[in-house]
Amino acid sequence: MKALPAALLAAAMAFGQQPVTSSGDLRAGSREVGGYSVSNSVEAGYRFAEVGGDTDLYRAGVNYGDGMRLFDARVRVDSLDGKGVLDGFSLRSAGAPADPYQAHTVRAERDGVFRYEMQYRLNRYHNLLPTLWRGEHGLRTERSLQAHDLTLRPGTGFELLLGYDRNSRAGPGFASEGVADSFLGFDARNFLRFRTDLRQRNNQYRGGFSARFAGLALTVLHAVDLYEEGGRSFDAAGVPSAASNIQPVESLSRSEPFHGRTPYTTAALRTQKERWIGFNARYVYSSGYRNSTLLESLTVSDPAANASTLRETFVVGDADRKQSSGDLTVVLLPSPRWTVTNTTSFHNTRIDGQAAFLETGLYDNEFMSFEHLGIRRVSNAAEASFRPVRQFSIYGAHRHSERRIRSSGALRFGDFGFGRELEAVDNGIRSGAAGVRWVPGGGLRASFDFEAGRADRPLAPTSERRFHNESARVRWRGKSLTAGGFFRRRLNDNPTELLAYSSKSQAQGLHASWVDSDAGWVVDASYSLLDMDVSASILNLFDLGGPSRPDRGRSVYGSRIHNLHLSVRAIPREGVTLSAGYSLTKDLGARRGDPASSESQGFAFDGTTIVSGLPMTYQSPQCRLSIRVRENLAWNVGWQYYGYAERFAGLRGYRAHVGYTSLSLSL
Amino acid sequence: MPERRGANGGPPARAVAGDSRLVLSVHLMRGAPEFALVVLAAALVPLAALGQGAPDPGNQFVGGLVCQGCHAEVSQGFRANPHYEPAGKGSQPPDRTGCEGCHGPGFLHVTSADPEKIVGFPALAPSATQDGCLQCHSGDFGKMHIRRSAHSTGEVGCTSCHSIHSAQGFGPLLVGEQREVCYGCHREIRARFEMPFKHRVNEGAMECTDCHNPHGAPMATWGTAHSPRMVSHAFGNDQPCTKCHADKRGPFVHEHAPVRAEGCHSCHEPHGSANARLLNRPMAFTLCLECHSDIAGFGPRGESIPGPSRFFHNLSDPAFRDCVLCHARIHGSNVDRWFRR
Repeated sequence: MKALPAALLAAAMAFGQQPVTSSGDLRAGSREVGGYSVSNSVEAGYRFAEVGGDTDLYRAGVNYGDGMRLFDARVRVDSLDGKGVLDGFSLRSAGAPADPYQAHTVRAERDGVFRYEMQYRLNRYHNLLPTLWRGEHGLRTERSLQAHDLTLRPGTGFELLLGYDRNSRAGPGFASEGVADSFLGFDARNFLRFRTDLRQRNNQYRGGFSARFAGLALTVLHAVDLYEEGGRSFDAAGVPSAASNIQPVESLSRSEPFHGRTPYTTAALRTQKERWIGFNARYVYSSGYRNSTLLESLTVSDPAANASTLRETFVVGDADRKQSSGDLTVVLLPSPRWTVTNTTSFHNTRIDGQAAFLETGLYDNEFMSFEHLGIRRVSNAAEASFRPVRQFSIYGAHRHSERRIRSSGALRFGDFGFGRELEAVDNGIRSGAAGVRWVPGGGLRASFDFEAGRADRPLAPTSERRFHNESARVRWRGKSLTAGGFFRRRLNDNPTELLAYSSKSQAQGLHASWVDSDAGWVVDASYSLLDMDVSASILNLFDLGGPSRPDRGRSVYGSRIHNLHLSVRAIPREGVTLSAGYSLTKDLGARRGDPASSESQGFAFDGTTIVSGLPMTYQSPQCRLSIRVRENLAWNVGWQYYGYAERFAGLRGYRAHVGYTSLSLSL
Repeated sequence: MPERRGANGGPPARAVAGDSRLVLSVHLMRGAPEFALVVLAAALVPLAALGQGAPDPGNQFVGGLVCQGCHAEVSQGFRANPHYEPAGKGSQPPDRTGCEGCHGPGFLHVTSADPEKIVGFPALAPSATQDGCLQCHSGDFGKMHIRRSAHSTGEVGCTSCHSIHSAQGFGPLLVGEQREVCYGCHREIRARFEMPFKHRVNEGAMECTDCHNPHGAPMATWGTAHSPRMVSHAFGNDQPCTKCHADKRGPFVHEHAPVRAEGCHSCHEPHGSANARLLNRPMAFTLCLECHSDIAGFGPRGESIPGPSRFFHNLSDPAFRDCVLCHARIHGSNVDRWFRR
């Protein structure tokens, strides 16, 4: 059977890349309870972490700490005769209560009656804000996401769809504030950076139906998404000045409530069966708006006058965005060897925003602003694949897209105002693609794809203009051994009259897996090289104090990331499972010989050209031993090391030993 | 070996020319105005039959009980399989139910014990496998775009990821944990998720399908629509990032145009990056200045994307090298057109 090698390989791969969780050492059995087949397994234990170096960085990237936790719990209940309340029920839980990453899923179903699916995810990490006063940038951010979907009468011709999502975030945010110096002038050094406590929450309610009739399937879904955000005011008294001539800040408070709603409707119609022709059509309309207010009080002292001055700012605004998009796809199957599709798509966005700004005290400001941004796009893609023989197929496509971006704005100070007329810029892109797939048999398969395109009037220098992409994959799957390789290259040139932007990214790698089902051995190894070179014309904003400097410079970015991944799983004797893994990510930064290669600090500037990269090493070896104590009980112990070191300006890094011990129980 | 909808009951067994013409005609005959379409269909359907091959008249449906005689290891526990109710219970016509609903009529296989005489999905071409599954699943909302998905055009068939008889877990019948299934081919993406800054997929707090639809997605509403091709939409027509990063969704009084027009990946690498905040560059100012370069012909007004004032921003001072230190609301602001608060 192929299932066992696949499951073993999946377990080994999971172990190699996933920080210390269950890897299925104890196979869950099942037993019959009142007409149901019940299987479950649970692994719970204690994890500890010892961290050295930059703990903020560790908490931003890894964040495992000490405490008891449920590494993995699974329950599955299946009806044996279909006569119970449920046909099936499953629950999976991992991470609670101490892990920073938790995931819980529930699924229950009674065919022809209902299906319920729930997902709850929790994600805690340190938000790596720029270094702020008092070190408050290192505070914890917590995101939780939950989704509930209920389908009534699943599997029948008519289904009622109900859903609810809740998404919340709490943690530190980052804000800046401009403060005038003693001459009421501004300088970028006068900007204070401070923390805000953000509370964001959105709730989405949705309902709709799906119906099948006359060979067609229709789905209509309407949803309302409610969003609210509150930024708690923050007392900035005593915030040190960034420059000596800045007026000392005595207090600052800011409140920024922000809320709105996004209702959207989706309608989709498609053919249920594709004989020689099929089609599907979809239309989506969403209308979102946001209301916002900003209330701010800032007190600065003037040492010369021995007095304090209050500045108050009040801003009220609202923004509205209407989006509609749709697409129509026609599928032609003229013969078993041909698949032809044509998709036409349109999208339209219109965003209007207006705000009134009032500032009094230290300096007076009063104005109103209006902004408009509109994006309209029509696209078409014609694609065909042809398989003359079973072992070989070719693929070709032509894609075309036209886009119009319109914008305008206005600003009014009292009786005086100015604005920009509605201006439009059109751009388009055309590309052709082709590919071949070869499956000669014996477990070998290979594919090659190529795409080339041209764009006129791209939006930004970094946008696609003259591009071509290539990719190839080859894989061989034998009884015990699977091996393969991949290659992908993306090139883009965006020449302008004087200077050019060009980028090249390339990825290639090899991988192999070996599974010995009888002995329980699994070995998985892969190596990837992700290569990127970017050259861009930028403004030369370095004032080095010399007599003159060129207006323009060049930014060169290089990244050469080597990734190695190894995992081994073995059963040396009955009831004992040993797993080990190692992952290494090493970025050598700019190309060898460049000033910013790994020999330097990742940044070099010669007066006109900036060469940058981020040489760093991130590695994580790990191992796990699982010993079956009884038929349904196993003891596990594991260790994982996280080592991060960058050779950049700050030379940041951390090292952490994360260990755990746990019991796996299957009832 | 059966081709797509091929001879000897290639999946599914009901896909024969006469049958399809009858069904289509019955649907269309319900309204007189559709008469012209009936004529058109009658003319075109024989074309569709080309290459399908004639069914073997000696092959008949034998029923699932016969299959259980030899394949007990498959039938045991199949009651818990999501395919039991529509396919395994036997309440549907014989070509849509039981083992033969997917594997085709089994008479010749049973009488000859020849594995070549029954449809075995591992032996089928990926597109033929997909044809078989789509006989029931083509009406699924999430699979609307499967024919033009990169997986389909790349000859990645349903059984590359799914296993009807040996699935892991309850639900979409995957051959393993979702991320391992995806990593099986997308090794370079796994390398991304092993970077120091990444979305928490390996940690279990996210799944690939939070952002991607492996069965194909509609054209993107950001960028110029054609890529990426397998990315789901939040709110039906928005970038998937905004599903979780709701604070970036806006709308804002002052929009940062590239966020809407070009997409989040203009500045971020969504899977994982060596750079903090999943940025495409280690230093923010190089990222910003690549667009804000004062070069004529770019920008939402086609003039240029203005660069920072050289009298105000001096990159020799490290305080200016992280643009978002001052332009903190870079994704959009309700107060300041320069995104400072």
